[in-house]
Amino acid sequence: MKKCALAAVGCAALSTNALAQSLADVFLDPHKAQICASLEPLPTESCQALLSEAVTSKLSGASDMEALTARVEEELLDPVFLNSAVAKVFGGGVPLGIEFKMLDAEEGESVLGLTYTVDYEFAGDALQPKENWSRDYFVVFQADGTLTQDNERNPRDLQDIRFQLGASKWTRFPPQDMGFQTALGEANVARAQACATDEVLESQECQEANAKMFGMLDETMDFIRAFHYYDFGVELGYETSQGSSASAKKFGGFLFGQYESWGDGSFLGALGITPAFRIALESMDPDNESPRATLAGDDSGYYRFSGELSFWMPLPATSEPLALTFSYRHYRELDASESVKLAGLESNNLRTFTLSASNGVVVSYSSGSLPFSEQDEDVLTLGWQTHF
Amino acid sequence: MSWSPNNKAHACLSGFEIWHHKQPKTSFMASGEWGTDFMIKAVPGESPSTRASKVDAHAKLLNEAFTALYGAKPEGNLDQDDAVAQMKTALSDSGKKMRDVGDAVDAAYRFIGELA
Repeated sequence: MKKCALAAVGCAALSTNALAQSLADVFLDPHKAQICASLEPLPTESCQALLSEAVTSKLSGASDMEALTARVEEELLDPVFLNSAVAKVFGGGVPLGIEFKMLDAEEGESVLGLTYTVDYEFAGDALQPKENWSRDYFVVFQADGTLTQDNERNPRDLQDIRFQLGASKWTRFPPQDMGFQTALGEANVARAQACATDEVLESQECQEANAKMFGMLDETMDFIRAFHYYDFGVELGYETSQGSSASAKKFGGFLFGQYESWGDGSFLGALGITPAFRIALESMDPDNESPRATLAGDDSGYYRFSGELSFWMPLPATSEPLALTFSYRHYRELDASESVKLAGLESNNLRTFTLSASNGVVVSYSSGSLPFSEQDEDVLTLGWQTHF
Repeated sequence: MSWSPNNKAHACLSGFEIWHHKQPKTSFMASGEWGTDFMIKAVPGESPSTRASKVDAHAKLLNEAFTALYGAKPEGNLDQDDAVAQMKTALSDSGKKMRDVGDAVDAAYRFIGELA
């Protein structure tokens, strides 16, 4: 009150605003939740702040737009909101695998990232099975990368577009007799019904149905030792970065393999560890904006080896299924010039450790860099699942 | 279609994935919330090319399991390539869940005992 006595005009304005705010709260509070629910996926906090500010400014003629803008901006850049907004716009038919993520890089600074994936098969067909292998061929177009709100702060700045012509082969399962097939289907339905929810998992009925289904599927280990999958082919592609005009055309061959041990008789099978690898040998044709040209003065074509190795391992049964994973990617220029070596650009490595949950929420730690990055960077990624 | 334990395609997909991922303490309803990244054993940090190959591998694994072990057949107007392609479409989207893949499986396969 002493302050009001000294600055009557300011105090009057303050009182008017406070009164308007109080009135706004009285009128709005009972209805805010309902109004904002109908405006979903607009974030609730932002919605309620917008409503309050609108009513307050109408009553008092004043508003704190700076605070409101800051608050709304913060929430609208939240990946959870952005993912739900995209889902709302596209419904069930999103043409791209789009996902917003918050990437933390450089001493905890956060960058909002948008990852995208396109995978379109132009042609493909099954080939005649050979011995214990099923086979097919494919022609596909794929594109993927990460975009950030600030070009210069994209810690995963590699956009990749490619056409692939290749073939794949995988373990062929021997068809079982109809008696087994019928019984297995019934065992799965019985298990689904008896163990429908978390609340009944400990019931005797669920445990018996679970044991029966697991027992029947375990029987398949007698004739399926492992599931192998390989694909290989040639690839014509284009790599670029968001933060600069650097780009490179590439052409080469690749081989991918994945191995899933089917039984508990091996170390990998007992722990459920699934290894996978991908190797490629590519002819690269960079432009004169690439780090190799700008930092090492070398924009000539070169050959590159790339390899990656990953492991996926489920953690022992917990209330929330979890997996521990590791990925290592390596890119190396073959027969690199001295200037490229001196600039430290002849190779890139990226290591990623992750604890991921079955519902898609991921916490991961990466260190290293990808091609087009000029320096190594540690990145902590927190991902949110989308609901397209 | 909603994720249901009475739907044979949903039940067989859930049961096989729970066994395949060694998760016996997962209920049917909870398995419907598994993300496709978890289903295909995707590893964060790996290249998109590798993820695409894992999608293909998992769709083909499911096709082998459904046709050879469960006796399922592609729906009348589809062949196995079409059925695999429908599962790949669902599996390739990291925002989708097992219940979404379940709808693709239900649309693509007829399991023993289901009406034609």
